[in-house]
Amino acid sequence: MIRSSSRPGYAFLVTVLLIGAIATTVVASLLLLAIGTSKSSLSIQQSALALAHARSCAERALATLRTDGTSTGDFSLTLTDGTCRVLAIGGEGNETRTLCTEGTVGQVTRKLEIEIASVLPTIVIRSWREVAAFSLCP
Amino acid sequence: MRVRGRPAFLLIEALIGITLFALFIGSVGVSFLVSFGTSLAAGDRMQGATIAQDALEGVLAIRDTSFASLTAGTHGVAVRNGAWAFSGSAIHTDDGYHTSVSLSSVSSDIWRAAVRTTWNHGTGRSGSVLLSVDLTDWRAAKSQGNWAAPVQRGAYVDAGSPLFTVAVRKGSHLFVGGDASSGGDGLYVFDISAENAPVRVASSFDLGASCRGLSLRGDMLYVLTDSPSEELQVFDVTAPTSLSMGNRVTTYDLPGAALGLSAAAAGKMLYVGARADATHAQFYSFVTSASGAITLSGSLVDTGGKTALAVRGSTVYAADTDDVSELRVIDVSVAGAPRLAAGSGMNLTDVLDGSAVATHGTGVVLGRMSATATEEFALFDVATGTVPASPSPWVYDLGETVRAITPDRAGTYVFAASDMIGKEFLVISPTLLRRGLPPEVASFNSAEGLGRGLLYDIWLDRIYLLTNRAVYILAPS
Repeated sequence: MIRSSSRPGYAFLVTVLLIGAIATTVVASLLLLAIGTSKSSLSIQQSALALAHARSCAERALATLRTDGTSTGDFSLTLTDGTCRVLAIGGEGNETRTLCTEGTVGQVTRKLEIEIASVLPTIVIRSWREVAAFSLCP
Repeated sequence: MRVRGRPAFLLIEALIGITLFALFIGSVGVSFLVSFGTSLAAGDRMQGATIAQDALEGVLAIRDTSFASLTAGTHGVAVRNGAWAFSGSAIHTDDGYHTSVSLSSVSSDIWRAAVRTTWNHGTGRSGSVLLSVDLTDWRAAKSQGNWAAPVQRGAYVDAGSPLFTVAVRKGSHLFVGGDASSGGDGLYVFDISAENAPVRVASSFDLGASCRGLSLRGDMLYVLTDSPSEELQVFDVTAPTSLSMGNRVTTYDLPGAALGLSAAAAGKMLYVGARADATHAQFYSFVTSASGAITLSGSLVDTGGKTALAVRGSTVYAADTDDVSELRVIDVSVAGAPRLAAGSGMNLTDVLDGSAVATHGTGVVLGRMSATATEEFALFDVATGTVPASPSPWVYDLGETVRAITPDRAGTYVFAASDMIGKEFLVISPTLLRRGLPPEVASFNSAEGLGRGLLYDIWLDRIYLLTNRAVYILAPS
């Protein structure tokens, strides 16, 4: 009597498991992509708000400087969902002043660097730039 | 003998396999749908943020046009006739985004603009983005009072003869330098918080030398003196009312002995003019710091002494004692290497020394020592370059020596201190001078000596007139 050995069903199951592994990889990729996209959109929103906060600090610092030429800056504000900070205002007197501000929302920070040619009678801006790192301010 | 056939899959394996397969494929499908939905929602949020940013820029543009056009309430912002303008209470886009701007007053001079963009594109695809910015009217020009009719607000009159010459202001304190040769203390501190009654503080302080120039950087006061070995002295004036020699931070010995004549500052640079001397330089540039350090940057050997300095950008104009160049033009654009600008300067008729200088708009104003038939007041045009060009100069015969000149805030007048009895303070119109008309607009009569110096405080719109015995506080009417 001859017995033939066979492993019924195992090939099918192995195939199914292999397909499952591939499917799991696809699922993970799709979910990571979705998470990444979602985080990116949130970062973009936070970034826009951070720039607005930096602008807010710049507006306030310029108004203060226009009133008081000895204004030193160096203050922070708590705003909607974030903060902004004004670094020490550079320069002396009516001409050649520098103003640096940064706005922070969550983990996002955006920075503005402003060169002021003269303050009175009208503030004349020489440059207004967004920078990755301050170069004009200490 | 029987051969057993290949048995079929057991049913249980088939069922398990089918179930697992269904689960795997189902999970792929669900994750695909979730990912797709999330990506759409993320795209909605990015689009919303972009639209909100555009609206924010629109609000800024409206503010730039007119700060007064900001009114409390909820507005839409859109481009109308090529310009941003408020439009209704919200703006709706064709793809379902709704944007409104809420303006509210934070204080009397600060407005807050909150831009909110909302959308609802179906289940799981609704949301909003909020951006807010504070707005101020920093662009507004700061008006100046009417200096055609100056009035005296107050005065300090000294019992002695301090011969006040130069001044700088720090907060509510005024530092005034004078001549020690007449028995004065050289440097005085006044509390000017009450304009009608300025009071001398730190009365016991005695500089021990005459003060020729003053410059303030932060809490550091740079004093140019006629000391033979400590021409430049730096004092920490954090507490002006208790100023003493113990507050002296450092000194610097200029080459020669007591040759320093004038000083002017621009940012971290301090420029010093010196007497005509065959051996030493007549112009020095220093780098200063917030800690009071002085570092020589460069020097220039020239012919005449520099009695007064005025800085404009990378050019220093000097009132000079040179007989053929009463106005000298020095180029300081290269750090550490000041040099005469092309053309060097300007020669006026006669040989009377330049005694005062200031920049004003597109002009440079020079004051001179007085003599018969000599114009003591000269206006040069520098609109086309740093060195004066034709059709200038326009000149005016004041009749007495001009000791100090300074421009106003609005670019309308220059103020002068002079030896003219009855007109120790003058308000001069360069515009009238250019037209060949008498340029004197107003004057002030000092009962306490001749006009020796003055300080125009651009922030307070005040003149501090310095005379032989008094410090007058003058204001526009």
